[in-house]
Amino acid sequence: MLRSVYNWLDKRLYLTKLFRSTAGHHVPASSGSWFYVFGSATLLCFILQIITGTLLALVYVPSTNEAWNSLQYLNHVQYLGWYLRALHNWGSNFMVALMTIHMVQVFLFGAYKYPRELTWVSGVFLLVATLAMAFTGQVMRFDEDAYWGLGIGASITGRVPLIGDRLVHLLLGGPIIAGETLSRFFALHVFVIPAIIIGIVGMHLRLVLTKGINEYPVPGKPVRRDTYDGEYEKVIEKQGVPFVPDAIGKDLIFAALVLVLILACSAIFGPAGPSGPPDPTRVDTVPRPDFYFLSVFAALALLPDWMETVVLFVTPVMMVGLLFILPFISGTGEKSARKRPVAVLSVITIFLVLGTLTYMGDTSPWSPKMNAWSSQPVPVDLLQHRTPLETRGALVLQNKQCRNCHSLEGHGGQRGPALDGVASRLTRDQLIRQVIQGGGNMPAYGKNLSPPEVNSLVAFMLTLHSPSRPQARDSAQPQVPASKKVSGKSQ
Amino acid sequence: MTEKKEDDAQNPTRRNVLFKAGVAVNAVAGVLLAIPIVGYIFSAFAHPKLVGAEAWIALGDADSYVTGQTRLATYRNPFTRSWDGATAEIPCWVRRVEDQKFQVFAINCTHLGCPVRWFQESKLFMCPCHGGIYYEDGSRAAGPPPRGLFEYSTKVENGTLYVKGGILPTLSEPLSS
Amino acid sequence: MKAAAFPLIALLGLSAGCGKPKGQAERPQAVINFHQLFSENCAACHGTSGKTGAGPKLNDPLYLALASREDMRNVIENGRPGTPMPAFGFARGGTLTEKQIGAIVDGMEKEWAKPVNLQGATLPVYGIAKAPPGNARRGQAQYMRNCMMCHGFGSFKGIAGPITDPNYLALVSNQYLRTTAIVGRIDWGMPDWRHRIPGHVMNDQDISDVVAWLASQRPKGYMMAENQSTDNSFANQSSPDSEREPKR
Repeated sequence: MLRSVYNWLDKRLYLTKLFRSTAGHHVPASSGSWFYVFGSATLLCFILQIITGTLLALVYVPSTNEAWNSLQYLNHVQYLGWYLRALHNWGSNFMVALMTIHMVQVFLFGAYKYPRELTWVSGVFLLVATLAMAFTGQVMRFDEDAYWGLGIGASITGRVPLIGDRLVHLLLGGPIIAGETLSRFFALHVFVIPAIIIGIVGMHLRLVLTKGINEYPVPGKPVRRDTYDGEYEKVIEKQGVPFVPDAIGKDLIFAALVLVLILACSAIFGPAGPSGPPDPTRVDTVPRPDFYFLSVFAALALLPDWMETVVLFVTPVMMVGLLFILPFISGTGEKSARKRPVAVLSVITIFLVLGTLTYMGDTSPWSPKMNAWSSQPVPVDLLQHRTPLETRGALVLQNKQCRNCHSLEGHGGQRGPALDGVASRLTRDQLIRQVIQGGGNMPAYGKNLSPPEVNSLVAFMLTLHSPSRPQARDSAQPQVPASKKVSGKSQ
Repeated sequence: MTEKKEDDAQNPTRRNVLFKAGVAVNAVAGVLLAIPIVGYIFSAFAHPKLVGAEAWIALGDADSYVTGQTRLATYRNPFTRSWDGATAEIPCWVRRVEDQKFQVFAINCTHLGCPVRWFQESKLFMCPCHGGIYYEDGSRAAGPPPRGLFEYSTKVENGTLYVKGGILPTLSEPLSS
Repeated sequence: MKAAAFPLIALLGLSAGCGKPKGQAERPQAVINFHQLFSENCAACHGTSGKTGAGPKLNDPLYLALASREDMRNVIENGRPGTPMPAFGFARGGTLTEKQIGAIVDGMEKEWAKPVNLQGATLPVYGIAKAPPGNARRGQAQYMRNCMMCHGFGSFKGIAGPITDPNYLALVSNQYLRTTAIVGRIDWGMPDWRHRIPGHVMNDQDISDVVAWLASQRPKGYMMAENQSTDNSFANQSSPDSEREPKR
């Protein structure tokens, strides 16, 4: 009975033929490896994103006036709304992570080389599109971080020469971040970019079928344009197995594992935000981008300002451009990572740089801690046995927001040097000069401090040295008592 | 009918002409369609001032600002839509320098647009994103900003303070002074 | 085995809903929790939980018995011009609403105030406006008698360090001097007004005199605001209490 139904359908839809040319196509047995599971897992995440995204769109209102409230509704009122938001959030985290691993694997296994250049190029398009989804998705979570993230986006766009102002209007859909801004990012996130991704994924998969999956690379067997196709055909003939069911097993197990991990992370860690409402009049906000963009955020803090604009526009173009032309500059030769030290080193370098920048973006040592001056106490041990003037100086230190940039015993901002032991580094005169004139990224406080404030502040700072490291002294002044000369020298 | 079809099939040149004509006609139609689409998307390029003209905005009684002090003020952006919600409420820092002299600064840091915060004790503006610092008069004190704070032009009429605004200031489009 | 554990964890997590968002983000003006307010706004100068900080010790039953709620509310709202105590009231350019200031004052009274055993002495007057006018000449004698042993005089520095330093006096108000003269600083070993000299309790007049003498040692041009009316509160400025609530 079932068989006859299938036969009836097969006569009309050619299902068997379709299966043989797609899921059942022959792949090298060596590709049935745990290293080859990341691409399919990324695709799984994308499908999950489409499903959860559609479900969220049932409730979400893409209006600046209502978006934040509808997110609150999802989080607190809609049954399991918070869980769907969490799934969409963790699905995107996993998608970006798996896509990155997939890309690194393809790079290290030389799978981008002849004849699979276009597979790689379409993959780079997918990388860009996925990052665009991540950024526009962050805007969908329309909270204060999203608002100021748009502000940062507009400010970067505003640095484009000549047409910057018009590009800002194009990006925001108006002169300020308002109603039309969210609408156009919604359209991008929900219609435009997903459609592009679906199209490119189709091409990506088609290329996997037409040009075959990369065989597991063997050191000492370089790719040559004239012989590779024949070699690959032989490999398929000799040790080819149908993808389904012979090679897909590991993909299936890994896909289930990823799915369960996403479900678990969503249940345990929940959705991201939303943080405070997107109200620009709440100026006590500390905007931070999502994880994926922390490295960019960090780079923007660390670049010297004269090269910032150039780097902002040239580096991304260069980096993506380099990815695009990669298969055309190293399209042949060794595939195995064992024979490609430069490739391995570049992967390590890129991830060290990205990791470091992300870590720095997360800790943001360059940002003043805006509430440190009123919330971080002067450590009690620094207040013991101080004169009334020195104690007042500690109050001036707090009151003038010094702690927003300078830490004491590890608490406070990291923008400027920690003040512990500052008296061992600077003399009284140097301290006064530094406070009044500023310099080295410190504003000049000359206009804002009265002489008694400077004197008390410096009196307190002169107590900040450990007993084992004496106060700094002016080398132009004669060393005072002869008996102390020895200890002075060893300084 | 059938006769004609057979005719077509037997006459590849005629089919070719029809195909070419079909492509050409669709190309023309496509261009006609593209004009409104491109014009719609890139309206910011065609009519930049339609959406971004600045206007004078009242910031309330001038005497609600104390001479020598700086405080936050907010206004509703003059170009808004009813669904803008809170995003159309724009904050700015108002400093009353002298009796009739005001300085009004945009909230946005000139580095990347984050909201700067005023600290009246140290008389500094600090940015929470990358540590840009500005003095009381808006000039750059430290950090990555390429210039001082964006400043609105101001006027006082009948005891009310007005600023000229309506755009998100950026390096390529600072507030007109 | 491991693979089987994951769905279990996920199910447990889901049933416990531990990832479920708790509350929604509050406007900072909506916070009225005393401990949160104190640690975010006051702890930097007055110490963690008001215990030991560079500024006056607030977690001190004697201080809380001396200063009234109204006094404290006034200081938080308007600050002490010329000293490192900033104005926290929204109308004064600060960040706190009247309600939040009230929560801080209530919290201090509720958590830290305790009945004080005055041991027969009477509590002096707190505010300098209500205290008897001081006499600087008598104040010097009182200083020598009550304070000099620790705070020194002339070239004698004393173990607690000089309070006649003009830089110091330029940064402290008469009210601060008076309050400290009364409550002392027990965490740093400074006794209160009853325990400076065995068998002698300073009276209101003594305290006013000492403050008057110290004030006379202050360099010219500082702490002028204190003698003038401090009531120049800003007009026409709404507090965020009455301002827009998040629209929904």
